Formats: sequence, structure tokens, C-alpha cells
Amino acid sequence: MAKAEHKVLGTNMPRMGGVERVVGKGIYGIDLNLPDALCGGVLRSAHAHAKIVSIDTSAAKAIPGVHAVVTAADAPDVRYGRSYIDRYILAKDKVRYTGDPVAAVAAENQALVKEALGKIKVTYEPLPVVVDTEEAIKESAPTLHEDMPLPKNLPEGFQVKNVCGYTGVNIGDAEAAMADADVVVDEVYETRMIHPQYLEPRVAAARPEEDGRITVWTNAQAPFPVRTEVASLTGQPLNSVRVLSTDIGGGFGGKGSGVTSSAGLEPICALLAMTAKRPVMIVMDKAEETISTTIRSGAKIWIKSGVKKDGTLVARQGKVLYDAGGYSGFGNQAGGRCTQMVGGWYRLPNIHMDGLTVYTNKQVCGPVRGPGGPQATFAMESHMDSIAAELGMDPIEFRLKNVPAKGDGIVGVPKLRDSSLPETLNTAKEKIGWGKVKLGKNQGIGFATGAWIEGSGPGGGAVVKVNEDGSATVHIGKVDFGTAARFGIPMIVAEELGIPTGDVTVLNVDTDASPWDAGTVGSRSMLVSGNAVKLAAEDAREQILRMAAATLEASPEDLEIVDKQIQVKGAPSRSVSMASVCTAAHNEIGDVIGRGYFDSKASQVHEREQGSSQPFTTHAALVEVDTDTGNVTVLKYVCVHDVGFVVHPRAVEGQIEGAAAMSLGQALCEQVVHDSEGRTLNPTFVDYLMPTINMLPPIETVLVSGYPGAGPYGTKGAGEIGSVPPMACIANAIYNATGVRVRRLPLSPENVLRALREAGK
Amino acid sequence: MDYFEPKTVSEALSLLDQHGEQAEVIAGGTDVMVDIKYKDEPGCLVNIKRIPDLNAIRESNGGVHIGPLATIHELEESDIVRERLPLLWQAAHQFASLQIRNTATIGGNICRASPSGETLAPLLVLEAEAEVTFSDGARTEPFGAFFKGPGQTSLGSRGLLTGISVPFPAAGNHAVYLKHAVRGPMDIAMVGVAVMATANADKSALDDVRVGLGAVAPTPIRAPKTEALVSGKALDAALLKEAGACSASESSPITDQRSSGEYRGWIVDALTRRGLAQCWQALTGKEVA
Repeated sequence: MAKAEHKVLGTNMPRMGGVERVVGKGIYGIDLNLPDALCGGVLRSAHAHAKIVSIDTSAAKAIPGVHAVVTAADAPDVRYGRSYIDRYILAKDKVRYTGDPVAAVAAENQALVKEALGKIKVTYEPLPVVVDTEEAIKESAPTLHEDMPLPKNLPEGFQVKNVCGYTGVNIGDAEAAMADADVVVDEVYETRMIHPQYLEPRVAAARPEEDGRITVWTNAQAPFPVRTEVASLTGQPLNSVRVLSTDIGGGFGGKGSGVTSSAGLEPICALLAMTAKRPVMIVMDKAEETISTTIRSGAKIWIKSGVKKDGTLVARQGKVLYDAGGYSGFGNQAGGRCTQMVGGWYRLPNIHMDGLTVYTNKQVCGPVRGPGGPQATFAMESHMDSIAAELGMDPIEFRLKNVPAKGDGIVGVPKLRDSSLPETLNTAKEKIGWGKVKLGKNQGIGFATGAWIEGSGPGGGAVVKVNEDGSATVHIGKVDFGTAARFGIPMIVAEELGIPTGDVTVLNVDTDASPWDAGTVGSRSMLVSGNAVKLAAEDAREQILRMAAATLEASPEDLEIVDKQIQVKGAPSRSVSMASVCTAAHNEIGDVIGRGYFDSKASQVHEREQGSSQPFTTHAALVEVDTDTGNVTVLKYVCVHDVGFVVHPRAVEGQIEGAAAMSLGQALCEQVVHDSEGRTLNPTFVDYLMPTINMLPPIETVLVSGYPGAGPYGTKGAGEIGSVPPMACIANAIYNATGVRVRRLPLSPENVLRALREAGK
Repeated sequence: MDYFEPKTVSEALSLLDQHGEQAEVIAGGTDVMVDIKYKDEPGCLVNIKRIPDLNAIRESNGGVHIGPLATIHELEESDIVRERLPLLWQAAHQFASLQIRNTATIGGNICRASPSGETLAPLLVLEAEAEVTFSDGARTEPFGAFFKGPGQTSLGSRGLLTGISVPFPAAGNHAVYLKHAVRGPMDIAMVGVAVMATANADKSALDDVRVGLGAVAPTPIRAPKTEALVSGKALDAALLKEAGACSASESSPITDQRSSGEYRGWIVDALTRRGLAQCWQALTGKEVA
């Protein structure tokens, strides 16, 4: 759609609330100041795997100023989880990773909390620890969850244990096709755990109310799932729990998986508040975050492909071991997506994949930005380069030979309505200067494509209230942390109602008032809330026009709203102000309340029948490798994306650059390092290496257009996909520079130099 | 935890005598504050930051006197350091972020005695001396004798570092400090190599070659065999290769979460070669052939 059709969409409106955040006026979790509040803290397991023999809290409780000390015994005998319901609010009987919450304290001040936590006597009986997925599935491995069965869909023939998820991909006959292939390339890749490292620590506060209800404040991305879990884990009726969102200082999916993502912080806080009968606030420490909250898992990926001599892909077989950590968390969802994506998004008629999600004594998998995708793509797109090299083909030509076209299916998508993959490849090739720039010594160019399948997921609603003056107040269930809630959403309302964006207020989430929503996750803000809010604004507009019709002596269909004036189309002098109509409306119907919802099921059926348009991407990097030290410098980076229609170009570019930067960090330096006993060796920013600005190249983002998606006006999700290609892209550039393939992340100086030396370079 | 803010060196020393091992000296606080948060609290903190006149940087007796409370940024901004002690200036310039450099002191960097401390290998190469003061008197000792092990110095729990004397290096020297870390300055060094040398009169050979190594032994060290191997010789590719290997053999790096000992050895080799080659080129105007 051309920009000219719209007044607001396609512009770069300043982010709502952006200035307040920058000048320090935003109310983040840590800024909450509840009168009479106690400080809370959590005792975490120092063992990665141990039986809890006993917990003695008497000394802690005896300290004056300590108002509550709680353990699993103080909570209902209820567990939580997604695919497997395998976790208590506080560890009961066993701890399964270092950082597993065991007990919690509320006291008058932080020093007393620390003192009381130190006085809780937990007697552990240490158990053998397993931190590696390959070891964990062996018969000899310790059992993490004695009462959790193997997945129901696990095919026969797997002699495994500690498995909490299985995903299979079976398309065509991979075995037969592999046997017929001219060339077979067989490789193993490995990625490491990273922490999403949002800069704002996890915060929860809870206040028991006079009427018996409890109010919980959280900086989670998903307040409604938090409400459900707090109610269930503390034994409250759902409607007794009210969850309010604070401003959020980054989440990246790390705050996205209900209370799993915070290792139960919100229900623990609520339990403390209910016990102490006082408000309680807990602020996590950065090192505590790094060892205890949800992460992007490491994956081991076996990938084997068969090709014809002309470069046609004919078969792929593979296996994924995806690390869930001590509990199932988001492991099966992320591991399943990872397994599918190793199958790829090229035209490939024969695929067989087995993906196992495995318990280990490490912290728990969460839905970190593109869950499963970056790991899969590191393997899959590195592998594509390996095949091209084996065939002696140009990596771009090899990919173009195998891209899907309109009407083709790819793993997870039965039929494509169109395919932007070739255009992204060709654009990236041109922008990075492939075959044109003169490469210096040890310089190389790499490419990697990416996909992030927009598939199933919950629906969600929106309410647009039009006030007496024509301004609008918007309720959605998605919180704001830099995605559409304060960018695209107010723009859609302004566009549809003919009012300025400054007249639109988007409320933060209050589960007592906001429409239900699964949370700001899965690149779905525009798809879900965008679609819902568009329908809600249209609904409100229709009501207003109906009321104006009598005054203007015209039919509602002949009216339009332009700059807050309702006018007859083609005769703008016949007009009435929106304010006067909306004021008058109050005498008739009260508020003008527009309602809309995103019907996820109907959308899925439509996409299946009509074919869907997927947000393909290609990234390109120019790097230089110091062959003496293994240091990799990224000199230039290009992100070419199809995100469908673009409502707010700078917001989209910001998401893409941020996502690329995040994965460049994982590519070059980030990892959570554990010893064999499951202890985290680098919990603070002294040792956990986030990329600093001096490591990051200029990033050029190019948006291709003409492939409308399922979002409003044809948008597609843009929050996660930028994180999918970078690791493979850098690995491929290193290969191009040195002829050496590094199959294990991070592409740190040591891993790169080791690979160079092993290759005799 | 008790907190003291002595106004004089003697007041600080009597506090250290009184509290012994229980006392922790704090100046810039960039290390101590992190430790207080993540390790056990000390019995008391003795904050020496307010003791006057301990941050001077001035010329003295054929060298530079540096007060231990001089911040890393003050070193970086000092004309005499930049012009006369470029090796120390380079180390200060690659020392973390500006915020940290504004707070961290050279005395803190030295007394922390971390093998990876940025200024330590340069001080060894510059043959600087520590002024060490106890309640019963002061003495000077070379930094080679000052460092006893990771976190251990000859100060023990009762001494204070009250001055740093750095002699001016020989005229015509060239020096280079090379830091290897994943994030460059914004990271703790995996390896730091300081190389300083002069050339002989006809620029045909290197003289007085000094090599200091950081983060690859329990203390920062010199690499005397490498120094002897190269001093008095013309640097060619074969000698350079030999010097790199020799330097690596003089180090004894450990494996930790940052890197393996083996990799650190490779980097000592690479950076020693790089440092020597840069000195050779700067001093003779010739590439290593």
C-alpha cells in the first residue's frame, strides 16, 4: 500500500512516552513506592541437583523485623508449567539447578532480608549433576523428574530419558532421497546458552487489599498469564488477583513466559505479602537474574543434506537436542520450532527431523527473541554454505536455486502466497557488494537468510473509547517495551478516527480492565493488537458517524472524519466537529466504545486456504579475521527484511537493528558458562560479555515491499526475525575470509583461532 | 561493617594496625564495591580517598612521581605521562570505560594485584618502584618484588602504597602496550603484553629489550629469556618467531571462564611478536624481514 493513502501510517511519530522514559520519569518496577512495603528476597539453591532433606526457618523467623519466611510447605500443592506441569512455586523435595528458588523472606529492610536468608538452614543431599543434553538422555544419567513421563508422541525406538518434548518433521522419503543424492554433506553444530540480559532487573510487588484481593505489580511481558499462575499457585480465585504492568526496561522474551520467566517471582512475592499481611517488593540482583531466570538455550544440531550436482536440494535429515534446563519451561515450544527450522525454508521435498527437548541441571529455557530460531539458523544456514562450497557453487546462486516460490510449501507453512526470499537475497548481495568490493587480506563476506513463521497463537481484543472531545483512550492487553503498543497502535487509532496521534492514549495493562492477551510475545503485537485495535477504531467510527448522520442529514456511509471534523464526502463544508458529536453522544449512549478482536483461528484458516506471506530476510556481513589472535571484526552489516506493510519505519528499523545486535553478541562473545557441577561461572557483567558499541558495525536496514502479511494493512511481525540470521551470517563470512568453518558458538577469538589452527591455517 | 575516613596516612596506618585482616582499604572502589556486593563484607572499610596530596603526578629525580590516588583518567590526561611514559599512558588509555577511569586509581589497580591489572606489566617494564609505608616507617622496592601472588603484595594487611616512582626510560626508546580482550578496552585483559626497546647507534639491532606479561602468571611478570634472546640483535622473521615462542614458554597461564591457558599462550606468542615488530619498525624504520 502506498503511503499516500494514509495520513498517519508510514510516518515516524515520536514514541508515546519516549521522552518521559529518557528523562527518567517513567515508572519502572523499581520506581514503585508502596507505603508500608517490606523488602523481599529469595533463597536460591547452591546445588544444581540435590534432595532437600529438611528446611529449618526458625532462626530466620526469630529475627526481629522479619515478617514472613515461606517455603513450598506454605503454598498449595500445585505445580506450574506449559508442556509439562513440573514445577512448584518454591522447590519441594528437590532442587534441579543452581538458582532454583527454595525459600523466601520478607523483612523491614534489605539487610534484614540478607541476614534472614543466611539463617535459613537447608539440608541437602547432593545428587549427580548432568549439564550436557547428550549425557542427560543416556540411561546412566541421573533422573531429574521422577514423575514426568516421556512425551506421548515420542516414536518407538528412542532409548532415552530426561526428555520432556519431541518434535518430528516427516516430509516425503528423506532416506530414499538421500541415497539418490549426488552429494551428501553431514555436519554437527552447537550453540551455547545466553541470557537475554535486559538491563532492568526483574521486579515484583504484591499488596493484600482490604477486600481480600491481592494486587501484583510486575515488569513481565505477559501480565495475564502471570495473573493465572499467581492465582493458581497461591490458591486464590482468579478474580481475586489483579496484575498491573509497570514500565518495562527490556524483555527480549526473557520476561515473556508467565511466572516461569522470573522463576516464580510474582507468586513468591504474593505468598510473602499474604503471609506478612503487608505489601512486599522484590528486586532481583543482576547476578541472581543471570543464574535463575529464563534463557535462550543451547542446542546440538546434527544436519545432513543431499543435493544434485546442479545444486538442487533433495533431502535433509537431522536431529536436535534442545536444552530445557531443570524444568520444561518453554523448552518444548522453542525446541520444536528449532527442529522445524533446521528443516529449513527452502524448496525441499524430503525431510526427516527428530527434535528432543531434554532436562539438564541448568536454568530454564524461555522464549527469548525468536525462540529456537537463531540456534536452528546458525546450523541450517552455515550448512547451506558448506553445501555450496562442496558443490563449488556461489552461496547466493545455490540458495536462489532452492528458494520457494508462490504456491510452494515449507516446513510449517502448507502454501506460500508469495515469496520474498529471492528479493531479499538479491538485495543483500547488492548492498554488501558481493563480487564487487575488493576484499583485503583475511576479509570475507557472508550471507544468511532467515524466516520466522507466523503461525498459531492466541487471539486478543481491543477497546477504543472515544471521549467527549474526540480524543481516544485505548485498552489492549499487550504491554509496552518498545514494540507496537506505543508506536503502531496509537497510529492505527489516529488513522482510523481521523484524529492526531497526540489525542490517543494507550493504557498500560491492568488485568482488571484490559482485554485478555497472551502478552507482548511472538512478534504478535501488530498481528493481534493491531488487527483488534483497527476493528475497534472502525467500530467506534461507525457509531460516531451514525450519530453525526442525523445532524448532517446524510447517510453514515457518505461521511468521513478529517482532522477531527466529520464531513460529507465531497462536500467538506457540510461538517460538524467530532467533539460536538462525541459530547452529544454521552446523552445517548454514554461513551463511544469501539470493540475489536483478532480472531486467531479464522486468520489461520484463511492463511492455510489462501496461502500465507512469510517475513523472509537475508543478512550480509563483511568481516576481517585476525589470524594471529582469532579476533573477528565486523566491518559492515546489512539486514534486508520483508516485514510487509510498514506502519512506523524507524520503529521497525530499530527492532531489526536491535535484534541483529543481540544476535551479533551471541555470535561473537556471549555465553553463560557452567562448570561440570552446574555452577554459573560468569553471572555478572564483569564476566558475562555483552557486546559493547565498539564491537558493533554500522547496520544498514533495507525493507523490501510488496508482500503484504496477515497484520493490519498487510503488516508482518518484526520484533524477533532480525535475531535469526546473524550467527550463521558471521560464521559464513569467517569461512569466506579464511576457508575455515567454525561450527560451535561463540565465534570468539579463542574458538576461531582454535579452528584456524586445527585447519593448519 | 564499620567505615573510617582517615585524613592522614598515619591515621590510616593506625587503623590498619588496629583492624588488621578485618580492614579493607578502599579508594576508587571499582573493585571493592563489587566485592562487597558479591562476596563477604569486610569487617571495616578504610577509605583513603580523602587523604590530601596523594594524587599528585609530577617530575621528580629523573622520573615521574605518581601519587597512588591519581585516577587512571588523570594519568591519561597528564602531559608528562603522555610524553615521557607513553607505555603507561597506553595502558591507562585502554583501561575500561571513561566512567571507570574517572574513579579507579592507579594505587588501587596496583594493590589489587590482579595479574591482569592494566598498569602492572607496564610498571614492571618501566622498572618503577613502590613507596611502601608502614606505621614504623617507609621503604621503596621494585614492583618486581612487590607482587607476591594474585591479590597478594608486600603490603600485607598493614601497609599502604604511598607513592610510585617511575624513572624516565632511555632516550629514543619505543614502547607499546598490547591488550587482548574480546571487547577491547571494555573488558578484562585475557593477555596484556608490554614491550619496550631502544635501537643501537646505527639502528641495526635492538637494545635493552624489555617484555612484560600480564594475566598469564600468578603475578604480572617480565620475560627475561625473551629479552635476552632479542637484545643486541637485528630482528628478522626467524628471531621474531623464536621470541614469540620463548615468551609464551615463560608464561604460565591458567584456564578460566574467559579463556583456556593454551589460548592465552598463543596470544602471548602473537602479541610479543606484534610488540617487538612494532618497536623494530618504529626504531629502525624497517619492516621485519
